[in-house]
Amino acid sequence: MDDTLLNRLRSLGMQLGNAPLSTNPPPKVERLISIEKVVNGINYPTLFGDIFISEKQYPPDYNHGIIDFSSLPDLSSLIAWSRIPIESETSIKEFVFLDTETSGLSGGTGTFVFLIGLGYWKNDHFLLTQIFLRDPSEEPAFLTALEEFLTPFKILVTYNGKSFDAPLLNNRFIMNGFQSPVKRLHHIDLLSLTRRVWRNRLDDRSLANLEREILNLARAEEEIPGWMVPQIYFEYLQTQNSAPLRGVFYHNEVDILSLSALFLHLANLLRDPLGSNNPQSLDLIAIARLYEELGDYTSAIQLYEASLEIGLPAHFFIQTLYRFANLHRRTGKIEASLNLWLKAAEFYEVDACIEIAKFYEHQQKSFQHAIEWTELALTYLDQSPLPRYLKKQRRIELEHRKQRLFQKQNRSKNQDIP
Amino acid sequence: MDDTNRNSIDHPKKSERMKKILKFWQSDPTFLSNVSAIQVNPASDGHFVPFPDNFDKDLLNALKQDGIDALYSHQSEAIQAIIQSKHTIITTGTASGKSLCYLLPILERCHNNETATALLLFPTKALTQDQFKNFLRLSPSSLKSSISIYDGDTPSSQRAKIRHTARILLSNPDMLHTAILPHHPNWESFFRGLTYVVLDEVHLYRGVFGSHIANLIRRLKRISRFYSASPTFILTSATVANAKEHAENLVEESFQLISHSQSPRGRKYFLLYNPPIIHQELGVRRSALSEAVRIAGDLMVKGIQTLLFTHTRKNVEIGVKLLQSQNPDQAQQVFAYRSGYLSVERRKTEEALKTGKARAVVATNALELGVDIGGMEAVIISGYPGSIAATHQQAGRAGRKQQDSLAVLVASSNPLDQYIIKHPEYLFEKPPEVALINPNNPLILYQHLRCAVFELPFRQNDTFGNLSWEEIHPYLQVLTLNREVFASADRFLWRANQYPAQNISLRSAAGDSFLLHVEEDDRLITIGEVDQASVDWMVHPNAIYLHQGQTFFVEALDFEKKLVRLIPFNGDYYTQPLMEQNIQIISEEKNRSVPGGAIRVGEIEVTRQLTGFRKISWQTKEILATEEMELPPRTLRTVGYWIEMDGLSVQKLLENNLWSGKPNNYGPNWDQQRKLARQRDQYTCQLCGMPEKGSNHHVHHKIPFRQFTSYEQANRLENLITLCPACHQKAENVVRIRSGLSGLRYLLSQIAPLFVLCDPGDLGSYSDPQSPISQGNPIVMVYDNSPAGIGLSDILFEKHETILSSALEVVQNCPCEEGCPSCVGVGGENGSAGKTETLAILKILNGQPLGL
Repeated sequence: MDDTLLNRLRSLGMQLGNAPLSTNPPPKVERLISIEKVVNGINYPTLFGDIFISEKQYPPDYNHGIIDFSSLPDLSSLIAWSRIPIESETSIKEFVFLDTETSGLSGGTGTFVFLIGLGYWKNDHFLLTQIFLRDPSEEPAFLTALEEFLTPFKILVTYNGKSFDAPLLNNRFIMNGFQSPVKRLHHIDLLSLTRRVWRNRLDDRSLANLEREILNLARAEEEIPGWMVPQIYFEYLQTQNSAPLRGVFYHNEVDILSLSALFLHLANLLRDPLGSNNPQSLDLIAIARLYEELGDYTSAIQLYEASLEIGLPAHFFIQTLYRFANLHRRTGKIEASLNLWLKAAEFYEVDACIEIAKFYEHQQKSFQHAIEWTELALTYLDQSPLPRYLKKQRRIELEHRKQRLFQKQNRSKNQDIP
Repeated sequence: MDDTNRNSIDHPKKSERMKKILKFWQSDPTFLSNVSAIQVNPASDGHFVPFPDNFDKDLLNALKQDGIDALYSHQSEAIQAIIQSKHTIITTGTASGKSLCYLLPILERCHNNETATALLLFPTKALTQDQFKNFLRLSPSSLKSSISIYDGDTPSSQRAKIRHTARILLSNPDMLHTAILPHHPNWESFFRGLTYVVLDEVHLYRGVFGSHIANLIRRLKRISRFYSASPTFILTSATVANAKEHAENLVEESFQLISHSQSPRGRKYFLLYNPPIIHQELGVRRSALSEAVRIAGDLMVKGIQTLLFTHTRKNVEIGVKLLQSQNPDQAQQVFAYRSGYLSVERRKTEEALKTGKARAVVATNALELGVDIGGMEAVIISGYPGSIAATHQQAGRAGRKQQDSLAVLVASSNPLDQYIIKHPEYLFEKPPEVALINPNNPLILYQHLRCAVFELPFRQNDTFGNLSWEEIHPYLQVLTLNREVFASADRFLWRANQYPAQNISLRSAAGDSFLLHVEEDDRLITIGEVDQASVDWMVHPNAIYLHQGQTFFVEALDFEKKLVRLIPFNGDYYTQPLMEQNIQIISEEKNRSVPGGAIRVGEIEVTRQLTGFRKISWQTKEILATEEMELPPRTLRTVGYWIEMDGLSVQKLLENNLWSGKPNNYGPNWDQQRKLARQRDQYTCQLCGMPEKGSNHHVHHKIPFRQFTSYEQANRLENLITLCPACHQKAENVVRIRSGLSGLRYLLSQIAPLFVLCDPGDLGSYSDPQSPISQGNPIVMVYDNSPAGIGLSDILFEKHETILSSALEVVQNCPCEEGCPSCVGVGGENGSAGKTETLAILKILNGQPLGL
């Protein structure tokens, strides 16, 4: 070690971390505990040398939290939502569930993957394969093994994989001079779906929280928090003691199981939202929006109706009235919309009054009614908690509308007179 | 790119106009007597050559449609070199068609080779936009969709597409540093095809900033090599003394220099103009700005488009106001251009210049950078811009095709300006300043090695730029000990859970700028912005702020929201801030004795604070009021190196009458004489005629007090005159006498950059003849001008002896008599620079006898 540089950097005012800086290199230890002693696994041969893999098969009646792995759902709604160009009857066997453990959480080229978990269904069993990087120099073999294991599958399922795991793996393939097989696969990232389905109910949409709230599962004591993973791996590289890695393998395994369970749950929920014995109205309106966007208005209407019936907190209730009314208007059922706006107007809703005024103006040509509703909107606006500048702006719009309505009314009266 | 290559017929009328105005001035003795030097650069027809035979047909057509059907020979020379993959730096002046030199080879290569790509880095967004338009205009249509800008303004929705489709990418160094290199696999095909890298305006990449850029290029080359690309580097630069060497230091390759312009140009007149003396006895001259405005006014009347450069943003506004009131008919055609304006407003002014709608523009050096405005007929520079290179660059804005053009430098009363008036050869013959960088500064190198490990692991025997494995290995070891890097069996890997580029800024002290809001029709509109560093003195509460000649009153300054609320203002005064600067020692790290005293290095805190402001009348320039106004102090915590002289040395200088650091003691009869002088002058300023109001006027010694041996002589009524404070300052400027200590401070700030390879702006300096820092002993300090410093002061401390002996040599060998900008600086026009005193101090600090 070059002490002079260290001292020089320090004398130039460099803050060199809090960690104790010993000038002695760490003791080179023999493999104290190798990975084979900690995790069941084998050496898997590749063109670039052997790589350590661990495989596990789950019994057909395996349950993960409240999810039963043996009853495989109809995937068609989930596939429709994902907008990937595959048949809606695509079998679950085409899907592979992937999660990675990495040397850091920041992404970019400075982060590499050291453990990949792959989950998939085969012959009624759920299977897990974990590929492990014993040393960074094994990366070519590690990536080659991954490519081989991915070969049978068409669709990749991840949690936040579109912005984390997939680009990271692509980077690693490119940095080792390979073509990335990840680009070949269709990719469903469940994060964007869970964000939408539980938008109203869960603020924390991390996989760990969904596990607790939705899957009703608690992790075992072996579990280690995700942020500690990089640290544990580097400790292992330094000491060659694999024992603490057991927790990392466990963490990765549960992540894969939860990801797969969540996938089954979402497929069911999208297919038949009212099917569960305790449907949550907040989830229903979120799924209704999803259906609306997919153009399935019938299902959306059904869900809006059901959720209004079950009951919603005030804010969501009003929001749903508007959404529902808009949906009716779009499908040409303006009378149905009117009823929903009238209901919203009972809650002093300015926008509802405006919609009703528009209805009387354009549909009924009843300018007097339209003026009255506009005036009511003005009254409600005064009472609303909007910021002053917005109120001012909206008042100008409403006054303008009122003026226009008066003019129209006068013109139509004049026409009546001739 | 300028329009010089376009083949259009010159208007002989315009050159006639220039001849007329020169004749007009020649016949005006009051003008002519102020002109201290004229330099005439002869016209040249230029030297054209046809396009190379094998040039792409589509490209030739696009060029012809644009009116370009030949190349200047220097362009052809550059293009030939570039096509042969020679690294090339082009330093031909403004309006010589520099950008065409890289534009053509890039377009041709990318058109003919479907995988070739080019990366262009511009120092500012405005330049990026300019060149983007030029590329689009000249590009064959098939290539247009592959030309993209990738900078902070690029919407994230477009970024992924650009990464895949861009083949000609226009970006900036900061973007390469934080967004492209750390994600290089996303740019795989771009890097694989990387054929050309363009760095524009590399004269800006000097000092600390340049050292960062050099390391960034080492990283870029490393990643390119990983993708088997070895791009040719094309650099452009304004004049610097060492362009080729600078390019080779930045890129660490050998370069071909293209410096001799062969573009046609008209005759060019360069005048040095010294404003007339308005008070004979005191030697006070008229202000540079008002003279510059008067000259610009003359040119406007004759229909000559004029650009007026001035130092400060406030002077831009005052200049516009003056010029508009002088030429009310053309007031609409006078524009202002400076930083702080919204970019739309700036684009408008640029456009107005190009179309000729703007007859006169008053600007700061914000316009100096390659922004495309076409050539001006005349450029007026109000006050020496501080460096030879900057002067040439501003003057270079004059000259359009083959018309005659004019540049005028109007000197201020600043000693440096007056020196140049007396020594025009300093400006016309001396080579411009050198650009220095030190890519191997340990702290800068360390930071970039962190980024480099993140981007690609290091293996045994890897190199970094021209640094060998042996040179970088110790850094990797320190990084390993610091647990940011992990040394595995065969490589050094990044291990820290962070993204190093994000916390390393290539440019020091940017900070968010403050938005300027004005309420108009009940709506808040943003009229411009002010950078963080200038907020305190430009827009403190109750300040008067000028924008495009309009006056505003600062109603509130919100530090949290970074907003300034302005209201339109009709008063007849403007404000001048009063700032205080203070230096404190936080901790001393090292010291040692040297001949004449001691030197020290340690952490210091430089505090600047607004303490109040003056209201000054637009008409009479008198001070209407001085108000107190305290803003929170701004502090720079950094590292400084200082020389402390001991009492014995001061004693020795005093004995030899070589010490002028003492404050003047005007003698026991001073109070009485002062009263008598004011009475005699009827309590009225003898320069501007303003009577005393409230406070007493000052009494000034016509011949400086220090030049007398007895106070009775100095305080004779004949030697005294009553002046208002503002005029007093002007008069003082003329007879300013600098102490030996400030001479030493000036000298050190000039030569220290040569020893640590930085830009003068990277260092601050300070001197105090009776410093509280050193128990009342004199000190001279040089410090790192960036937060926490980058170790420059430490190197100065180590090299103290070498620096001081070189300093002595510089002063001894300088042929000037009384000090000059190349040694101890200059004093007032009738003052003294303190060369003898500085020389004496230097001898003491070098342990030499005074040897009188």
